[in-house]
Amino acid sequence: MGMGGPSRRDLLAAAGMAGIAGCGRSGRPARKPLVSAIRVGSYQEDLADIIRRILREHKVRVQGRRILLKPNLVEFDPNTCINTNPRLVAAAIEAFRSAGAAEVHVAEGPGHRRCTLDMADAAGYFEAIPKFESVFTDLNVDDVFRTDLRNPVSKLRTVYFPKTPFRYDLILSMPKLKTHHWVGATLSMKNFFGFIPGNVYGWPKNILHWSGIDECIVDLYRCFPSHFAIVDGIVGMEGNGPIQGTQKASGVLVAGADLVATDASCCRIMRIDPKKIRYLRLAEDAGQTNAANIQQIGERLDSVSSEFALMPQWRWIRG
Amino acid sequence: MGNTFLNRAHRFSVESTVLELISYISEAQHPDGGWGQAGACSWTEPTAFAVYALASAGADGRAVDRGRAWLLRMQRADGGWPPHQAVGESTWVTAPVTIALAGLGEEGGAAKGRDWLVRQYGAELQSRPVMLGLMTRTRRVRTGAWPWFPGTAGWVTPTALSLLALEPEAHRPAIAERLAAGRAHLLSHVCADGGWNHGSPRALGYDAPSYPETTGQALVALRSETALPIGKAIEKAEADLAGCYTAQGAAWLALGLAAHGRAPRGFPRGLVVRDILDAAILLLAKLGLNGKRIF
Repeated sequence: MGMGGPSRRDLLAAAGMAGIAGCGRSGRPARKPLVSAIRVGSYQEDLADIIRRILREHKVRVQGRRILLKPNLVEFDPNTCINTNPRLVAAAIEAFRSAGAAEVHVAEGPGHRRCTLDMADAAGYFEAIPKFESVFTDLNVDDVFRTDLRNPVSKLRTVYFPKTPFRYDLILSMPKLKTHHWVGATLSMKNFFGFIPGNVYGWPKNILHWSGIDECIVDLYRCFPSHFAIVDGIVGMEGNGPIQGTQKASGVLVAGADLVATDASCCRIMRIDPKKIRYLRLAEDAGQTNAANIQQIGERLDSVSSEFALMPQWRWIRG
Repeated sequence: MGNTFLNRAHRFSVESTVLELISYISEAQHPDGGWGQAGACSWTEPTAFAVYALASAGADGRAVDRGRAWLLRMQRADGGWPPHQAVGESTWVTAPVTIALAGLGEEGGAAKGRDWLVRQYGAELQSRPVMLGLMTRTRRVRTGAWPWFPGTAGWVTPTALSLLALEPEAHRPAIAERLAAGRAHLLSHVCADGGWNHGSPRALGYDAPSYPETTGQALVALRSETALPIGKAIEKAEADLAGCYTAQGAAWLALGLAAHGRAPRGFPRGLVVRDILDAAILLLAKLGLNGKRIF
């Protein structure tokens, strides 16, 4: 990328996505959404092979496509369960490359801390992913464009987005399985908050709080319609998530192309009632908060679920 | 999509000399006169800090002049600055630009920046009982802090930098009032560990830890304060500096300590300069440790 102004390609990409933003998902197939739960004991297992199997089972179109991995990178400490484990991200890079992806890139715009590359370094990303800087974009400082949201459910009417996510064919949301002190649970949809540029909105991205957190989750999710999720529940977080909670080893990866359905299954794994998670209710368009409307494969959810501790004010969402 | 700019920056660290940092910053200037970070375009914040750092170091006048011209071109009719040319609103970056322009003696632009800043407030929701205490009503109120983006809550970084930007006109009653309110806000938002984080020291009954960058920024902005929390904050800053993970954090801590007459002897070794913002703030800190008054 040159150091001058935005390229014609950048502008075309931005202009193209401006038309997409807020369009929601049209043409939803009538079939029930497929969600996998895969038992994974530790980050030492052959995660790339597991992800390859997920891609095959879900018939994810990878060949020749440009893939953007969006992990959840929040804090510096590699010994906590805050961030998506870098080994899982490294494995996803390997799996998508071996499945024929034209390009695999990683991007994140952390919400509280500014020095993203230092944070990625401290959190183990540089060690786990060779030449990490060459495959990573800090979305907080990426070039931006403005777009109007069509039919937003939040108070946001226009939003500035970083350009990089819109240059990719598929976004892989890779959140951590965590409870969240403002919205109950933070999963693959909430992970899209990282697409809001800190250089425009600050740290934290407080505009999203004022515009309605649950509603903004839905609006952002609809702005990125080509997506797939692999949720890192090998070690998740319970209690006062997403930052100050405690480690919870669940030993599971959860995957799916329908993020509402995937997040609803994650809630069941945490023994949270997905119907009580406001953003899931707002986003569902095929009754995905109802287990009967999801085709669950892999492990039975009751065999991998365990009670995630909830803060007192969130005990009412227990499923 | 490799980023040669970032990869080049990684050759620099806290061990880099003042001259090396000046050279790196000067060479990274964009053809339009501004500086950027990860993308191709110039951004206001790194440009403001790069200009201020180069000017403070007495560096190449041409780079400073081109940076100054870029900043002046970006000023909006309302007196503030947008963070990026694609953004159609003035935001908190008005504070660092105002500091930079004042440092260059560009008083016209700086004065308009201060006029914009003094009109900005953080917002907060306040609940009050109504109906004989049977119900509560929530209303939006102003705070003494500054927001990152207009219409949102006040936070530590924009507040600290706005205080520094407004200080030269502390004799104006309206500005004196905002300075007092802003300092009071910072003093009331100290974390339990003695430093500052982004601005939320306690949420839902849990104490949150401080961050090095924001602790340093708040200490700089509160350099005239001797209130009780300052002593504990200085101790926290000294402790954090030793184990700091980031060049930018270490630089802000050094600036904060120097502002209270406790300049450290140096920086922890091996911290990497990742981008222009890191380099500019580190350059300012190095100049500060060499006895130059910064801010």
